[in-house]
Amino acid sequence: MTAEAQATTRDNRQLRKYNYEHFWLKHLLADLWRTVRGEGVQPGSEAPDFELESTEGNRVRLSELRGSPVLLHLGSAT
Amino acid sequence: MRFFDVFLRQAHPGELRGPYRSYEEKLEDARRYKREEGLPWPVLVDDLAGTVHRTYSGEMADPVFLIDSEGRVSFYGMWTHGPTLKRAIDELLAEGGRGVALGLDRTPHLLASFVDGWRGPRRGGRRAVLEYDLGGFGAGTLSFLGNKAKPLLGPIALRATPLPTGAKLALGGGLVAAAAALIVGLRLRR
Repeated sequence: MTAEAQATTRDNRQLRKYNYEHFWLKHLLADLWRTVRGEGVQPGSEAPDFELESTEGNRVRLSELRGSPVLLHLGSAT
Repeated sequence: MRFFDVFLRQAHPGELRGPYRSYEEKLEDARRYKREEGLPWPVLVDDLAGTVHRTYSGEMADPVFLIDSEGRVSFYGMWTHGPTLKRAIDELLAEGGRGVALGLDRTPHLLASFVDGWRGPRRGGRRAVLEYDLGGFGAGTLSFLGNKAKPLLGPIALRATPLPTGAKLALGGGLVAAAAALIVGLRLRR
């Protein structure tokens, strides 16, 4: 297998792991462990920039919203 | 202040909504989600690998961030909770939209997620609810019951303004008294 093919296989495996097929206890435990550790972007630090597409097809870049506060809720359909 | 949802992977995939296998599939489901939830603000779609999700929160299922007018994180709620969020927004706006307001909220707000958390797994289907039960100590059933009891528990669990401590104590005391009265009543009937 070439290095490129190996990288693709690894990427696919990671995608499958992130977009899991079944919700297990380990997912809940992982969230609780993250909670204990307070994992994530800490208050007071700079919010990492990103550019994402909205469902209406607009591209939104976080750093272009400076000047007014922004609320970001991260959620799932299920 | 501007509001955005960032659309994530399926938290409770099931036979009705399985895991996304392409960005287009995720985008399409985000459109449906915005419609179903009646969200008036934009829904931004994270990439298939969950880059924004993982960067911001590890992989928390339902986190919320307030970012101040200078682009710094003002508040991070690891388990989104309406009343706490409202308090953080009020505090941030009172400070002119700058600085840290409330900081980090790590409390797993379980009552609110059971009272208002049924729509998610239900959209996934029966398998999603079953797996939520198995992997979440009965959380699927608790969400089902919480949804049924919403008229009763909603005003307590989902209120926009936090209850004062006195009211919380009175409420807790009331519930304990009601439970005690129920137990005594059942014993007397025997």
